Amino acid sequence: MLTFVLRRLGILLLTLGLVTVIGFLLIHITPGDPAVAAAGPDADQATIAATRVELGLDRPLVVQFWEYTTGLVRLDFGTSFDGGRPVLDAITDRLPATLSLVIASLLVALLISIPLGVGTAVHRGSIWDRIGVLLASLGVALPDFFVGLVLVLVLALQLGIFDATGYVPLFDDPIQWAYLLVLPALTLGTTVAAELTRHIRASVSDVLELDYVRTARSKGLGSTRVILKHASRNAAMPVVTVFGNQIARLLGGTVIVEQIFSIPGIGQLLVQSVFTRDIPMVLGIGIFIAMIVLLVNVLIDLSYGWLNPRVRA
Amino acid sequence: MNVTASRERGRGLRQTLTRGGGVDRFRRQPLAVAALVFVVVITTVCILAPLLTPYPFDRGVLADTLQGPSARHPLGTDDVGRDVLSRLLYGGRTTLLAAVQATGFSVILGVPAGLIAAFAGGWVDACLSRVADAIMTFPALLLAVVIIGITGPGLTNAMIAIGVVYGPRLFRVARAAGLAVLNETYIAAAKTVGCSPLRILMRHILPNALSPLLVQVSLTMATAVLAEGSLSFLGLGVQPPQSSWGAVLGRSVPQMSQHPVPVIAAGVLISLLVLSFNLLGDGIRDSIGRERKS
Amino acid sequence: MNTDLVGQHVLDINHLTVEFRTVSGWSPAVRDLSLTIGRNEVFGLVGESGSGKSVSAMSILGLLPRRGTRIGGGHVRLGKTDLLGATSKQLDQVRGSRVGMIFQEPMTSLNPAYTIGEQIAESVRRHRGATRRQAWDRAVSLLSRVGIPTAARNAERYPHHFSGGMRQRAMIAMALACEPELLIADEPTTALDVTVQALILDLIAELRAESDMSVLLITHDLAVVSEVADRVGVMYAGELVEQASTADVFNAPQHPYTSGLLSSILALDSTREFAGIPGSVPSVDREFPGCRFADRCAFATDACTISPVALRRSAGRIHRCLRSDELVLEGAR
Ligand SMILES: Nc1ncnc2c1ncn2[C@@H]1O[C@H](COP(=O)(O)OP(=O)(O)O)[C@@H](O)[C@H]1O
Ligand code: SF4
Ligand SMILES: [Mg+2]
Repeated sequence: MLTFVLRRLGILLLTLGLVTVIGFLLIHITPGDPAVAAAGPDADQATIAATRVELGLDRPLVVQFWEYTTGLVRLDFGTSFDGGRPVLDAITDRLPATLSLVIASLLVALLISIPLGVGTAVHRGSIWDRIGVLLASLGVALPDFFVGLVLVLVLALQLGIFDATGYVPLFDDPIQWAYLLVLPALTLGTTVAAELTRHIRASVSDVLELDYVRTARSKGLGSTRVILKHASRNAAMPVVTVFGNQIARLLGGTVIVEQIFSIPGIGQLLVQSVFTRDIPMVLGIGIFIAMIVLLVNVLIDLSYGWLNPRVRA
Repeated sequence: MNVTASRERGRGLRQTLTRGGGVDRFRRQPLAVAALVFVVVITTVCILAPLLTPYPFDRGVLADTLQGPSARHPLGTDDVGRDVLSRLLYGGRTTLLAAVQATGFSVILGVPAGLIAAFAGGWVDACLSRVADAIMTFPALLLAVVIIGITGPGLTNAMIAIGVVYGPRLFRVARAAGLAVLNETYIAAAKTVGCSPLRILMRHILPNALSPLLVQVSLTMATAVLAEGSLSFLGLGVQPPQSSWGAVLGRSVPQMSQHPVPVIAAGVLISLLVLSFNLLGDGIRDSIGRERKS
Repeated sequence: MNTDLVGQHVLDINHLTVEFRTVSGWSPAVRDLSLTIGRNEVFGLVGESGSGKSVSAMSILGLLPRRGTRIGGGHVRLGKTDLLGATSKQLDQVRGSRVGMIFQEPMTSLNPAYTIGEQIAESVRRHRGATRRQAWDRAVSLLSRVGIPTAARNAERYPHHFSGGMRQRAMIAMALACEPELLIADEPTTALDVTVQALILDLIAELRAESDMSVLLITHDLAVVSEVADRVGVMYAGELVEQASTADVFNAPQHPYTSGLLSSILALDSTREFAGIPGSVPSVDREFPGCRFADRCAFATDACTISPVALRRSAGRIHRCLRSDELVLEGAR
């Protein structure tokens, strides 16, 4: 178990390293001088040169890279081109909104996919199964932005049940916070739910055919208990892996959904920074997200131990 | 295993495609066939866009801005008076081309690396596999946005980014196919009779890898179409006045409450194309899946 | 145990037909099966693999997959309870409580995610309404009864810590947790080493002797049956072809198939299980005009292939062969 987690941790650190290296190289290989971007649109040659020295962009790449990575270890993500604000500050300011969105979306995804996936697996081959499978393949194909816009069109603009956009911090007004999160969470949640449903269905119907499920039935446990206790834990193993990937995908989706619903989260910050060519911010957000993905994956790996005693040994 | 047998097992590319009723099995899946038809029709229509529509995609009539559907403009016009249907037809070219670019890039990146990993084994395989694992853990869209943020907006950059992100999937398929074939005795036989590595690759490995690769290519096309849509929707993909489905959609959002048609039309097109590539991939997988069982 | 001592029927299967959906429609995997098991009796059901033994056993407890399976007719009664007509709730009250079951694959029949003790205890909690503590204690004592050493400690371990033999003992403990009237053991020793096989059989025989439990012992191995069964039923291609006391079946079989099976155990050729009979069990969707065994039977005549052969009774014995009166078939001794 320990070696397994350590190995996975290694892979994830490698991801982090790769993102850093690729990002760093891209900045310097591709046309477009970061100093020009940093100095602003109206800067003259002298200002640009001064900015270059000020930001340390005139030093060798290796030195810059070393400084940047050692900074990362101290959780120093550098400073924004835009006003010289520490990148990490800007990120942590935006974190609550994005976290709210991600958690609410995961909730939606699980609330939809677990009943649907288990239900279709148990009634495999029935008309409900076919409808469920069709819905799931449709859901996988629907782009986040389209789902979001249709929800806004119908539920907000036409029916007026929800507000189209906006965000209120949890501690300012919890009810408004939840209310405003419904549409964004539905948007992000449904596509993830569709993917999860497919995997839950496949996994549960595999497990239901296993000998020990038959044993459980032969003990007279009742189908609910057989499914909830005996099938679910083992069916969860492959699903948990997919769940990890889906969290990553969901983080990607925040870029779109925060844009549609004007949620002041990290995704929105990233898109803004791309437009203003605030390179340290873009790279910093990329690395920050890579760290979150890393954390999620470590948690997922640890959950294997709970799900399968054999891994624990 | 003797040489005759090895010759029988090693099939040419063409036989692989037509052999064993894989095509027949594919034909018996109505959803997959419908998906294929949709992809072919959409592609043809988009290629023929200049012949099919009287309007240009990049210039509008200012007097005709934001019109609803009419006989002259079946899907209405946009905020600068351009015909939405024409923009969608031309935009489909961009979307499809971008998807092909991204997929092609991930094939170029993933397949040779996968075959090298399979052949070389050892630490080469280990390194390449770890790098592939590493890339796969990162959210694709975010990576693309970050890469664009560094290199600047533009569809080509975006699609290279997508290609990088999906390369590992093709890497895995190619590596698995390579490994599967390497373990077969007829490869050893082919080697002993002095077949060149290139010949082994062409006659033995590619035919075996072809079906799973096709599945993966189809699924990657689906994700690439999605990614193009997302990036252009954000304004990070194609730049005006170029059109693409995602760009049409993104541009129509501000007027959505009064003029929902362009948003819905573009959204439905993207969804259907993604769905079609997914169903196509599933269909190919099922056609080979059953072949293996029987 | 002497058959004279056997009391009323615990299990009564009457003209049971079980069908599967195949490409050619509904095909019987079990056809017109009738048998009874008396109190405290061990009934051995034998036949080549694929003859329908497991399907028969599973249909008793309604464990066959619901989809693609149906009961074509007949009755199954446990005491006074009609099992085929039972609702799933009623069935759940029978399963694990009045009927315990053990399966062929001890490696896969236990859930890898829960401890051995928990898997036994949950049955006790379900049927006896015991507390967690009581159920656990019962699980431990059951484990030690079936011969698991340091049962208290082993109860807390997971299936992957156990050997095949130990797992099968745990399965037996689980099946016996609520002192069932009937134990169904479907090939309980097939997956085990020969030495372990004998120990498990001894255990089942012991447990039968110290209670008034009946046993339906399913196996393809006649040697197993000869050691522990009071009566034997022989199945072929979904049909019961012969049923009699163990001694009668072994000494004077009345069906050519039984005779073939008996000669094959003498062949001592463990790699070829049924050396005595050429050919193999036909698949379930095959249709037969007459005797299902005809194309493998050395004694088949034209009469055998005209119409289906019904069960015939004579002197307390049942068989399904037209020519049994004229044939003198070889037994095992
Ligand atoms: N779920 C099923 N669907 C279709 N056919 C089945 C199913 N289960 C068993 N069968 C068929 O029923 C026949 C009897 O099987 P079984 O009772 O398992 O034989 P055995 O005597 O070896 O236990 C076999 O031919 C088998 O292929
Ligand atoms: S009925 Fe005929 S074919 Fe069937 S077992 Fe008897 S002798 Fe053989
Ligand atoms: Mg069996």
